Amino acid sequence: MIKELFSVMHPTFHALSAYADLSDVDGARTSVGRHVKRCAECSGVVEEIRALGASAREETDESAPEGLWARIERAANAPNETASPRETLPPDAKPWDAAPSLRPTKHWPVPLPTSSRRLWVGIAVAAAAAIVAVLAWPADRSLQASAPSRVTFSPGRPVPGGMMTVRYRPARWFRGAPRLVLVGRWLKPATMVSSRRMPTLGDSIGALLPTSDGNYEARVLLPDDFLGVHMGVSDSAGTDADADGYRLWLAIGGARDGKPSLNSLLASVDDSYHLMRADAALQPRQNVNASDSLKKYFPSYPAGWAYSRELSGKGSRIDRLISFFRSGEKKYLAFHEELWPKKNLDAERMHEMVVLANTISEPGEVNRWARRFAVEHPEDPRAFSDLIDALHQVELTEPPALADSIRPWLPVLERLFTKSALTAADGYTLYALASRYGDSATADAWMRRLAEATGSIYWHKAYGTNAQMRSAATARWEEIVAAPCVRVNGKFILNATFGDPLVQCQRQRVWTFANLSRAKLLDRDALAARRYADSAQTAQHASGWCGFYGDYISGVAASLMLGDTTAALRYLVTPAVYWPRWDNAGRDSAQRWLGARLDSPSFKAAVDSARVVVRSCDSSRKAAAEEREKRFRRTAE
Amino acid sequence: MAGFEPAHAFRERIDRVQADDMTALGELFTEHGDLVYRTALRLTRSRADAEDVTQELFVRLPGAVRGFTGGAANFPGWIRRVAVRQALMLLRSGQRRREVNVDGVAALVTRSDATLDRLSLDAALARLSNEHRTVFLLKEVEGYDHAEIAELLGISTANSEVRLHRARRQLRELLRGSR
Repeated sequence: MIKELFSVMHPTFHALSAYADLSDVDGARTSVGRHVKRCAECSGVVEEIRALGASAREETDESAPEGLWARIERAANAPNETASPRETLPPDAKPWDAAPSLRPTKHWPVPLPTSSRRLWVGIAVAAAAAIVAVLAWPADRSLQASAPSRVTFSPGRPVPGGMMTVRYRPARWFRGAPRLVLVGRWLKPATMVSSRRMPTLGDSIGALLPTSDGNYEARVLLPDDFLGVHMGVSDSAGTDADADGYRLWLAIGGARDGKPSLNSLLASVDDSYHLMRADAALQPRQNVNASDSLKKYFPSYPAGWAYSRELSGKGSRIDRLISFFRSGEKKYLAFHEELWPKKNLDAERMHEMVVLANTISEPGEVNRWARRFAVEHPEDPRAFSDLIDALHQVELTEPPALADSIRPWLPVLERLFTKSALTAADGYTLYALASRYGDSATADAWMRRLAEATGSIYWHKAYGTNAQMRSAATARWEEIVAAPCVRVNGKFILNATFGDPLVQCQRQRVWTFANLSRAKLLDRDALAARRYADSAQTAQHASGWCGFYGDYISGVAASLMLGDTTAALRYLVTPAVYWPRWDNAGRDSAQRWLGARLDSPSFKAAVDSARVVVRSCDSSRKAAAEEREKRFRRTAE
Repeated sequence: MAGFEPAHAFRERIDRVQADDMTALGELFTEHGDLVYRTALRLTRSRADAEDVTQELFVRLPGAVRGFTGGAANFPGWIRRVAVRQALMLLRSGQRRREVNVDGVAALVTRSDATLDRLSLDAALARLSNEHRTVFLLKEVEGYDHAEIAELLGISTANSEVRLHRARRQLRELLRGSR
């Protein structure tokens, strides 16, 4: 009886997932296997799970891009310079005070070096080494001595309110120009929000005028709140750009007295990866004692500890790691004892304590500081990501009442999300948590909010079944397509490797028109649906997008609703170029609807013509990509 | 090509790489660069990150190859494993270069059929947390078992299994939600 009962109960998803990994022979011996054999529903789930893996395994035939070897060769041949922080201080500089001795008052157990977190110590030390090298740079020396950069600037550590002279050795496509624009984007205070993206557009911060030696020079008055600046070079029309290979040039500021500035450094840490790679001389081959230097520079901040990772010194790597974590824990305790009782503690130090606790792999401490940070500084975007990380660690430990532990924090996260203007990506994280641990109303509310903000993956769920939401979204999409895509007056492309914003705008129009087409189709307004499908195709061609856009199917459906099979076939001509290599689902639908018409000689001839157009478009696009690769690869001219 | 190389010739080439011979390193890049790049691309889902992983791996190869004691036939497996580790380090560092796959997002927005296709799977994978996505790709694409994944990520075998099941469930939900 019990055996029968078990045989009709469906296994959990986890059990089915584990079963999907077994061979047919092994799987058949398990109780789950016996159930799956008889249950069509569970058998379908297993098939879906296996299909996920099969789909992910589809081999990409993408090769390493052209020019990558040139980058590698150059990076491998980069001079192996040694930074020596204390020796390079200006002669009149006051020696840095040593960090105060803070004795821990209780024993803190040293965790075994098994945490995954410790494995990224190697990467982190590279960033720390880069910071130290920047810290150590003497104020009267510009970065021009260190690398064959086309942009150099002086002073080497520009100060707020001061003047910075920028020299530019022109790329070949800019040589002889009467005037160029130095495009910049000022660094903002550090947020450590992982979703921050590199800027695409910047303002003119200076005119680069020719000098007698064929180079260009600009003088830039720095703002009073200057932390640093990302720089690129553009022509006057804003149509062409130059940058440091794949990155922007970056100048990191100092304090008004010319000394290193913690805020500038932390702002640059947001882009430490770019900083680390931007200059081959700062590659992590340098023998610098990163954590020691940072601790000496910033004795009263956890930052020096949190962002530095000790890997230099004698002994095996494990010895050094244990040594670092032991001292890191002592330091954490010392900071914790000093900072936790303080009221009105600033956001910087709270965030740094979260990072430090993370560094020494203490999830309980991460949780404690992250929760306090969220409550006391809800406006700081870092509070959201810190709390998300802390909750994720709770998830990983899988306590018995996991949902009960996480659910109370959902409203707090929602408040943080609202107060600190976070991105849609953060919203997805929150939606994922809400779906796993919240009630269905909370999850639905988040799904709708995200769909309204992004028009993204929940399209059908949000708009397909809810006419009211569809109507509101339609009004917003109509506003979007009413605005033409033009270059923003006074803005310049800061880094063309991230794509031309004009083209991005045109592509947004493509899928907005497509959304409108689908919405109108659902509203049974076939004429409007087809009009918007046509607009999507026109916008697609304007953006230089080869091939077909995925929503052509609404054009087909609208035409069929109008009884116009000729037009329906017209929408299918370009997608058919890709059959059966691509979009087989679209092909199957088309065959269901149009049957033998797809085999007609006239349709096949139209597809052949379209194939020629697609190939020509693809080769032009490939040539343009190769040209861009050559242009942006990191080779000194 | 490497599989037919005489053992002594292969060892000689590895010795030259160790001695910072750029020609020998270039030969290894020609033979294995695509393998490294594709492995990194599958794990990072970003061309920019895959390029960085490939660059980092080959720049460090003269030092790293000292730990390789096998023959030519074992080299592709070894370098692929190094690429996996390098990609994992980048993923953990939180310092990835962000890029938006406009075409992928656009196509996902407009999926209307019930077929699982690669384009929407890519976009759904992008929605997973790093931890879940990494385990899914290591298991399903790179072919590691849970014990190996546990060792690579510094987690328990049970945790690896749980992450895989959760990744699959989330992918399934995301893909169903997109239809």
